[in-house]
Amino acid sequence: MVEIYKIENLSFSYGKNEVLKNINLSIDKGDFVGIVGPNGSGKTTFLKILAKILTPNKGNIFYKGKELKKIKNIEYAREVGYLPSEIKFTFDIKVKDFLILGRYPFLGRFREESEDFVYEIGEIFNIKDFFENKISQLSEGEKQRIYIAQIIVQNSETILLDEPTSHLDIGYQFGIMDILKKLNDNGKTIICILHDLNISACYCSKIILLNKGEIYKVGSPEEVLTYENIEVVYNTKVLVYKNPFTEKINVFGIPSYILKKFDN
Amino acid sequence: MKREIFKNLFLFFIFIFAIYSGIFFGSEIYSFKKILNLSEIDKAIIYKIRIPRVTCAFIVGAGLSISGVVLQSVLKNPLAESYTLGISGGASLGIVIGILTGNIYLIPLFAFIGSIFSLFLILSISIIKKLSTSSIILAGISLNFIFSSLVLFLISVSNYEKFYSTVLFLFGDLSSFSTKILIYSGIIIFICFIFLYFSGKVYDIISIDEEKAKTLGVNVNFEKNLTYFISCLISSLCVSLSGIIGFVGLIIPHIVRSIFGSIHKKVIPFSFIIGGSFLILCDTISRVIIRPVEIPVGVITGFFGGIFFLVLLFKTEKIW
Repeated sequence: MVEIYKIENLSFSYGKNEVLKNINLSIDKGDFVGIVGPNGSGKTTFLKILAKILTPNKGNIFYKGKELKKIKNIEYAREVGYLPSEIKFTFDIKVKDFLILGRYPFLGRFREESEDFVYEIGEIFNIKDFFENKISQLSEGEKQRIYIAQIIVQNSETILLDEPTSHLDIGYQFGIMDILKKLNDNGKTIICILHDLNISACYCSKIILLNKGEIYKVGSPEEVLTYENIEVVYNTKVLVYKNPFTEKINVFGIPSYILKKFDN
Repeated sequence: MKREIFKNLFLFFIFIFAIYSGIFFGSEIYSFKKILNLSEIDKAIIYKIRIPRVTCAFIVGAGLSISGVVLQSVLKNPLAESYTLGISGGASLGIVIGILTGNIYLIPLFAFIGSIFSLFLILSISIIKKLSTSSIILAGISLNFIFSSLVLFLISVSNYEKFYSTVLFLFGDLSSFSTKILIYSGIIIFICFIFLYFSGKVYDIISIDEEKAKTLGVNVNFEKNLTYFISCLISSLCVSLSGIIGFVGLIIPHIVRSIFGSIHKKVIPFSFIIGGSFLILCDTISRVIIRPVEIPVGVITGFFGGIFFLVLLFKTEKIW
């Protein structure tokens, strides 16, 4: 296994507010990593640090053995793609034009190239019909597909995503995750924040459970998504079992009014 | 494809028409017949007065428009331009101080310092107070009024008659520019235009999302500062030539985006041409409307621009 990220004693704070504490972690090439944890546990901050958007206050991060802060942004952009949880467009642009921007790390300010490359990606992602549409005309699910396609235009080896399935219905949720799985099967390393524990159990090879800025547990879904861990971190009662059909972990939250019945 | 060609032809037609009307319409109107046999006096009017003036109008209109485009992109604010951000107000105050201290040849430099100062002020306010995009515009317009009042105050307290007429052009007038400034402003603005045109991609990326831009390898802070520098440079040169002409940098990019789409490789050059043509036309109107009296072009652009600004405010449902 080739180690792609090595994180040592990472800490980060906004002012006095310490968001991440003493994180040690290593991620291998080809991993499908899910970052889970309650709201405010530092997931997004952690991902932004990996994306080189934020700089940590303490600790070291190595990307392929090189110190992250010593890698130039544009060089890093040739290998790592990032998808924020929400993109707010100021001006409406065509899907085709949006996708082409993914080539920026390879072209820089002044160089241009033909659009054929983008059309190929469009074919693979089945989004060619939207090419002439404006982004605002698309549904949330379609948008998400376009955003991921742009990262593929960027030809990223490692893909960082911040809740790619939020705001989506169940069909699109699995649609997007299937795309990511396919990319992962083709050798891409995927690191994504997920809200849905069941989805993370279905797709991820490795799960990082964050709690109050610290790593509570890292490992396979079976190791991390136990009812003991989840009950402590999320402060709620859950039922965890292996789904006999998918053979993956399923997590169910149990409403407190039902729990009360058992108290009596 | 056909529509693209039609749009480009339309653009070309407007450009030609603007130049034609700018040169041949005015207090003296030349018919086709007259153009073919011009007297020496007519030639002098055309070469010495009309052509420089049309050039000046084009440069100012084009410059204000492209600086508006890039400011809107980096601030992610469709209402931003040198007027609504107070940049032109700052430049005009700089100019008055320049004239008062007797540095007439350094006017554009004073204008530049004034514009940088006011942009710095407005950005600091917006960062400290965490203003929303529309509040920034309100602050910018207020700043413009403060600067204009200071300009008027300085004019009033100086009893110097000549000074009075030199400074009056600050309220938007294309009749009293200096040819020297025109030549080097034209060159500088054209160079800025070429640079901005080739940086189109960068503005596309920054206007989408700053974090996304960083992870695409764009050095966001550097690009932003560079853009502020260039747009202050352009605006201060424009103010040195023609005084404060508001709303051009707002109307033109907006119209161009709705016709040609929002890709900056298109928005920047088309805004350059349409902005220039627009100001030539406004200037022609200002010379023709109550012939032979000339009204300042700022009156015409202010009138159309104000109406356009209002329509834009009411029409749009988006929250800026």
